[in-house]
This record gives sequence, C-alpha cells and structure tokens, in this order.
Amino acid sequence: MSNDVKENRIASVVLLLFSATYFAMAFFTIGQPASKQILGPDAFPKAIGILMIVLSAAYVAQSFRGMSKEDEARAALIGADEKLSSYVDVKTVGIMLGLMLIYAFIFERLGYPISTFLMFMAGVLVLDRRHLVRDAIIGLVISFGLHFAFTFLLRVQLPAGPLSWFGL
Amino acid sequence: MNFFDNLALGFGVAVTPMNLVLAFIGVFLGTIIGVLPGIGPMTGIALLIPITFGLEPTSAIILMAGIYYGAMYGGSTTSILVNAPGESSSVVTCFDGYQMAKKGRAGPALAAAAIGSFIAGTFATLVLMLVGPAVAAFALNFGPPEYFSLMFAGLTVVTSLAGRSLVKALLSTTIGLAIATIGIDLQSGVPRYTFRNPELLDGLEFLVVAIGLFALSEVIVNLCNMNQAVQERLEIKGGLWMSKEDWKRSIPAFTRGTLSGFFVGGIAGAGAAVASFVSYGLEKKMCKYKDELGQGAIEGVAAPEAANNAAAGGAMIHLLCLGIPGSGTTAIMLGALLMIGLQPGPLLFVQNPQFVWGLIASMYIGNVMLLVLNLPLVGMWVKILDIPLYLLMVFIILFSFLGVYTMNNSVQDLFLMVGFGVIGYFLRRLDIPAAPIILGMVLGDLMEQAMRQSLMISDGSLAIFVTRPISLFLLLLAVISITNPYWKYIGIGWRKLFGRSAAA
Amino acid sequence: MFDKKVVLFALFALIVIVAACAPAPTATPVPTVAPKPTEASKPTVAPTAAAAKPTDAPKPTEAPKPTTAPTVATGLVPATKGGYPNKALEIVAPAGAGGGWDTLARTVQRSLETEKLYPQPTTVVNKVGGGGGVGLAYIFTKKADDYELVVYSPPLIINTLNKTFENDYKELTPLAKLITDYQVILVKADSPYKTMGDLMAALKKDPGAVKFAGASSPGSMDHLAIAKLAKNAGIDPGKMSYIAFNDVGSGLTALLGGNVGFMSTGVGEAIPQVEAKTVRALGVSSAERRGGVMKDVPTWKESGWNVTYEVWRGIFGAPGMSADAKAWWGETLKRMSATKTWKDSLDKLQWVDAYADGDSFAKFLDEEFQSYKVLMTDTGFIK
Repeated sequence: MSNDVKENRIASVVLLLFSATYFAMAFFTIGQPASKQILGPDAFPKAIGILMIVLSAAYVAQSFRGMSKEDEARAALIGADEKLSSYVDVKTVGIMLGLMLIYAFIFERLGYPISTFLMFMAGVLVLDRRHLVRDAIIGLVISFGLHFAFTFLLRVQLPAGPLSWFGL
Repeated sequence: MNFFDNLALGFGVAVTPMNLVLAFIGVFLGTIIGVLPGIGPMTGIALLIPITFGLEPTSAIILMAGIYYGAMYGGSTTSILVNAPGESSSVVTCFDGYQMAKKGRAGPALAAAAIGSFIAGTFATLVLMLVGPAVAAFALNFGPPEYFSLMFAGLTVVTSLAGRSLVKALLSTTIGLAIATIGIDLQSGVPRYTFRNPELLDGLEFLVVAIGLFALSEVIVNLCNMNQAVQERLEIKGGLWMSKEDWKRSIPAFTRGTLSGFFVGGIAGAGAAVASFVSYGLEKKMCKYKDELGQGAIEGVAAPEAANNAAAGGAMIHLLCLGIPGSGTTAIMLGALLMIGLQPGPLLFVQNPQFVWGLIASMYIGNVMLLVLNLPLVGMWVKILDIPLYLLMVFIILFSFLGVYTMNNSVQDLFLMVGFGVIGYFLRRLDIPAAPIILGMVLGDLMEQAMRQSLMISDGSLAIFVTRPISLFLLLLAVISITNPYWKYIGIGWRKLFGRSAAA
Repeated sequence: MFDKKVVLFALFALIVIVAACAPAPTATPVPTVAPKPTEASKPTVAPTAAAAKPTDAPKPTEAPKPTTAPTVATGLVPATKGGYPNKALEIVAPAGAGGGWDTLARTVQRSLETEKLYPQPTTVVNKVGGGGGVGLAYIFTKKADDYELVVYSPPLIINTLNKTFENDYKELTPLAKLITDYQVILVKADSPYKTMGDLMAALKKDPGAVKFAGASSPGSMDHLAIAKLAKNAGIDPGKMSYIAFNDVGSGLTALLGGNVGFMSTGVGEAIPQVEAKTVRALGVSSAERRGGVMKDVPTWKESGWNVTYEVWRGIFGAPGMSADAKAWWGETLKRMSATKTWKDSLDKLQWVDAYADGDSFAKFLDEEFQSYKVLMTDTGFIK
C-alpha cells in the first residue's frame, strides 16, 4: 500500500470524526434564541453537519475502495493536480513553524520592529546563512522601515513594544 | 439632452491641476494599500479620511475613489506573485495568477489584471453615467429571497473548483460552510461554536483563513524542498507583456468578467468577493480553454479581476444614486461624504451636478492613470520573483503576519493563520482543493442569513423563493448549471429507450 | 547541519524569552549572529518578570514609570496634575475602522490634536470583535494605566447583561458622556402607515403582521428600542417579527424594496433617505423634536407613547485610573467639547452634543443599567 493511500485513509477518518463532532455540537452547544425565529440558529449547523458526515463517509469509502470509474474518467479529463513530492524536510519545516509560533507570541510583547527583525534573522539563519551581513541590513531596513511607514505615513498602529519608551 | 454639457462640466471640474494630482495620489496610494496585505480599501479610506477634511468635496471624493480603485487593483499583485491575497476579492486571482507566475508568466498575469481592471472600471463608470439611476432602481428588486438564490447559484461554482475528486471538493465546501457558522448568529444573537472566546464572536476572518491556506501552505511546500533545490528562483519565461495569443484569450474573459461582475457585485450588491468567484465559475463553463483553468490560464486572472472591479464600480452606483452603500468601503465613503456636507442619494444629481459629473469624469481619468501607473510597474513587481527563494519565503511569512495582524490587531489571528497554513499543507498533500473552503466561507453566512430573513418575511413559506421572478430565474440557473454535464446522458438514455423513434 | 540549527533555534528562543521578560527597554538586541547569547540581554532576566501582571504574560510596555520629566504645559494645554500627562495616549476603538465607535475615537483624537489639548502623541487602536468584548478585555489588561481610554455606547450595558462580556464594565472609569443619537421609525414613502398611530394600531391587531428591520442582532439597540415602545403600547414584543440585517445599507435596501414594513435605525443614518423623501420618518425616540430635516417628525412621546430611547456615546478610562488623571481628563474633555473642531465635527456627523461630566455620566450609567435590566428581562433576553 502506498503512502498516498494510507494518508488519504487517515485523513478521511479524521474528517469523519470532525464532522460528527461538529454535528453533535450543534445539539449541545447552541443556545435557545430569545426572539421569534422561523429557523433557529441550530438549523443550518445541523444541515451542514449532516452533509459533512455524508460527504466524509463517501470520502472514507473512496479512500478504502479506490476511486470510482466516473471519478477516474473525470480525473483523466481534468488532468491530475500538481503532485507534491512526498519528501518532507521535517527539520526545516518544524523549526520554521516553531519560529512562526514564537513570532506570533512575541509580536505584541516585543513590538513589531524587534520581533520582525528577530524572525527575519532566525529565518535567514535556518535557511541560508551565506549572506548574513547583507541579510541583516535588509532585515533592519524592512522591520523598522515598515514600522515607521505604517505608524507615521498610514497611521496604522503597530505594537511598538519596548520602543514606545523612546516615543516611537 | 444635455448629456454632453454635463460631461463637459464634469471634465471641467476634474481636469484642474489640483484634481488631477489628487486622482493620481489616490490611485497611487490605493495601489500601495492594495499591495499591502491586511489594509484593504475600507481601512485605507477610513484612515485617510482626515486628510480629506481640508479639501473641496469634489476633490475629496476624487481622492477616495482613486484609493478605492487603486486598492481593488493592487490586491491582485500579491495574489499573483506570492499566492497571498491582499484583499478578499483577490483570493480567486490566486488560483491561476500564482500558477502563471510559477510558470514564469507573472508579467502577462499582472498586465491582464491591470487591463481587466481598467476595462471593468471604465464600463462601470459608463453605466453610472448613462443609466445609473435606472440600474439603482432595479437593484432594489434584490431582497433576501433573491440574495439567497444568488448565493445558491454561486455555490454551484464549486464544481469548477474541483480537482480530481468531486467528493473532496464538496467536502471542502462544507468545511467552509461550517467555518462560516462560527460566531454570533445575526438572526438570533446566539453565539455558535465560539468556545466562550470573545475573539471568535465575530467569526473567523476570511483573509486569515485564505492567507493561511494559500500563502503559508505554499511556504511550507517550498520549505520541504529547500535542501533539494537550494537557491532555485522562479524564472521569467517569455515576454513581460501579453502576447497576441494572450490578448485573444483575454478579451472574451474581460467581457464575461465585467458583465457577470457588474451583475452580481454591482446590481445585486453581493460584493466583490462573490462576484470574482462567480466569474471564475463562468469561465470554467464558457471559456474555450476551460481545462487549463487552475493551472495558469490567463482567463483565470482576466475574468475575476475584471469582475471585482466591475463590482466596485457598481457599488459606487448604489452609493451615488441611492445613497445606500453597497459595500463596506462605500459605507465609509458615505460617512465621509456626510462629513463633507453632501447627501448622496437621488437628489445628488440634481443638487450637485458639478460634484457628480466631476466625479464621473475623474473616474475615467483615474482608471486611465491606474493603467498608466501600473503597466510600467509590472516590470518592477516581477523583479520580486528574482529574490533568492529563501529570502522570498521569509518575506512571505513577514508579509502574511503583518497583513493578518493589521486587520484586527489580534495575536490570536496570527496563531490561527499558522494553523490554517499547516492545514492547507495537508490538504494539498491529500489532493483536497482549498479554494472551495473559501467559497463556502464567502457564501455560507450570506446564504444562511438571506434564507432565514426570507422565511421571516414569508412567515415560513418556502414558496417565496419560487414565486418571485428574479429568485426563480436564479434558481433555474443554478439547476441548469448543476445538471448541465449530465444532459448528454439524458440524450443517450432517450436514444437507448426510444432508439428507433429518435433515429427516425 | 541539524545541531547548529538547534543551537540557533535555542538562541533565538533565549533572546525572545529574555527580551519578553525584561521590565525595561532592553534596547534593540544587537544583531550579532554569533552563536552565543549576547551580553546585553543576558543579565536582564529580571526576577520581577512574572510579578508585573498576574493575568497575562508580562508586557514590557505596561508598568508605567513616572521617571521621565513631565513636559512643560503651555498655552491651551490644561495644567498637569501630578506630572500627568507625560506619555503617548492610546484611545481604544472596540470595533473596526469606519464604525460609530471608531469614528468617535478618531474624532476625539483629532480634536485633542488640532486644539493642542494633549501635549503628547495620541493614537487610536482598533480592537475588533465580540460586540466590543475584545476591546473590553484589552482595556482590562491595562488596569491602572492612565494612558488608555476607550469609547462605548449602550452595547456596553446590553452585552454585560446578556453575558457576552466577560469583564464587568463597572470597573471602567467613566470620564464623560459626549454625544447622543436617537432611534427613528422609517417606512417606505408609499407605505400605508402615515403616522405612528397607524403603525401601532396595525401592530396591536397582529404583532407579527408588520415585519421590521434593523442592522443588528435581536436583543441589541435597533430591536430593543422598538421592544420598549411596543411594551409601553401593550404589544407583546416576543410576537413581533424582527429581521436582522448585516448593516444599515442592506436594511434600507430591504425597506425600499418593500420586503419589510418598517425599519428601526439611528437618526444619523436615516437623514439622507428622509431628505430624499424615499422614506418617511414616523417617529423619533427623543424627548423633544429634532431640528433640520427631522423637524416635522413627531416624537414617540408626542404621538402618545411615553417612551424615549437614547443612543449615548461616552469615553472611559482604564479600570483603576488614578485620581490625578481622572481629574485632568474631566477638565480636558469639558474643554474639548467646547472647541470649534469638536463642534464642527459633530455638525458634520449629525451627532447631538450631550456632554456630561464623569460623575453624572456614572450616575446615568447606573440608571441605564437598571432600565435595560428591566427591559431585557421583560423581553426574555435575560433569564
């Protein structure tokens, strides 16, 4: 069994569980309206839930039994989507995702220019560190440049972080 | 008829050096605002309103209209170059625009977007000038039932977004519909799926999901291959400019996009995002090269870009002729006009002709300026792709964060975006199309609200959807669109059953 | 390859943590790329870190430090009180750009700036979501910060009563009530209902017969205003058909398209259509008649229903604002409400000046709270 098939099977089951959860929540978590309603707030979620369960069940069937002839014909007609290589550089992706989460975490705490500069440098260090001086300058210009452009030209407030102490 | 007098009056107002400069500043600022993610035309205008205080009313609206058009256009730039939609109305442009860029055809894609915007903008202005009030009066026929039918017809677009498996596309649409139910339900005030999180009460921001699913997942895909294909750049192949072939294919797409966009977004008032989706679906049905759509067909850029600009122009008609804003952006412009001391509405044409005609004239001028400004910029934008891949990836991350944060000043949105980036990556691995999720999100909420509003109006009778002619027409359109691929089977079945009589 | 990345990653994390905990501005971390911690940031892992804020992770911006010298107050600037103000001011608009709260926040900001009433920079920050709840939660993380203001209107009370808000607004520091608007009942120009009397009679006969539109969910202002009126007239608000629209524009489209019988909206939003005579205003919720285009529109009171409904908007300080700052703002806002910039803006936005100082505003809020509590209990929005 190829990886591809296995992944699809796992995904289809996960989606089925997700759909069932969504459907069940429509019964238990949506409150009663206080005003007059023809269709209550839970009607659409329930309908969508049923649709989702049916479709993910079809997906489960498809992933365990293979595509129907009709779909194969359709696929041949449309042309397969661009296939992703199954190779994953787990380390790089993992580190970058971790960096993104940290970036989100420090975005307001450290302020925009500093956190952005850190994110930029960290990204550069992870991905390619052959032009560090050049990249450091680019990083400085971008992070601080954008901050000032937004704050003073567009008057969109970005978090200044510790820089606010200098009145920036 | 003093139509030409009016137009002359208008150009007399618009072609003062001051107003020309303002129109230019407007489209220039607008383009920048459009390119910057997060700050859409709405926020852009809201933030720049104070600048307009010192200006004449006509000059002020000229500036604002320029920003509006510029931003509508500028949003497509990042969609095409880095798969990160700048505005909700440019999500569709990602589908084929980015694929074109990947094939080294970013230049023609950007050019097609600029020209499409120009054509559609000019068309909408013409309509405003010739039959604005009549169009506006017709628009009032779109009540909740018509809205529902329109959204329902819009959902049929999903078949054109499907890849290999229809089941996956439909499933993906329902996920989008499910996401759309998050937040306070407008019709009852009851919170749904909010997990007592105050930031979820307003629902998930559409661009948070779109940027995650498209831009960040693209980054992840590229990161996966980073070590294998270090320093690869997206190469530019062929000319920067549209070829003869491109023109031949684009012109019908411009036409269809402009007309459908004007109807859906302008007359029916369904907004530019819906308009762009519908025009894409229409391309999938009508264009000669429909099989190429989704893999970098120029029609996939030309039509939606024309459509969203036609919709923006249509929204201006609502604003000026009815005094009713047809979009968030025009709502803010209405506020600004009131502050200036003008009352948009049916009386505006009578009371302030120099204002209205000056604006119309400047809309032509603005559109031309937009074109003049942006075509030379194509060469510059394309250079962005020359940046080494690793830097480009980092830039896209920074860019996405900035855009998503400035929308709501919310850190939670940033985490959500990263989450959707990961989900988007897995969807691509699994061959599940992400576009229908966005479609479901765009249409889901509007459709549900319209349906429940309609049923309140009719006291629960479903007949309201088929007894009103426009609604019925739209529903029939939807049915035809769904069943269309199967008609040939009916024919085959007919011949099998009644083979002889059919042959005879 | 991998181990180096891990080191770098750890270094990055370290810098982040160090800087995030630092109580004072640790300056820009030096952009060195050497794989060892920079000296500048290392010793600042201060023990004070977690103590600053129990609710949230510590933010370096928070703890206000009155060390910087107060700027000299000149000209129109009100006298400083205990060194206040000496920092940039942030006004929170608890909704997106362009809405009512945002417009008010920006108008206040502009008036303060143009009239040189605030000697330091001022900014408006939009905290969008939860009907204002996100903004409220935000200002509650700024307790005792004298440089945080926020604007609100009746949803502050409504959303507290229906438990949308997690924080108790009563902890905010009311500084001034600034403006007010009223609700108006609109019908299409060719509607059979010519007066409030016609409409109320029809509703009395069958409360569900005439559908009405508003631009917010049931249980918010557009709906409650009519519910209040209906109750007074002996009509059961629960039996009436209220249809919620996303914004005033789509509500008006539905009204003009004949899809709903009448609409409840703010006077400000109604004026363009009333002036163009595409709609007719049947009654306004103020105690006395309004001027301008609305001068011929009777009040609900005049038409025989003793009900008024006010959509006030006011400005608050963060919870636990110091007495000095409160006093300073009391004076400054009073001054601001008399300036030309402010008055001109109100004119243009068709807002009604309703200035009241902090204490009377606080009292007014208590009355509003009681009145909404009764109204919302009666209409079933509080159980």
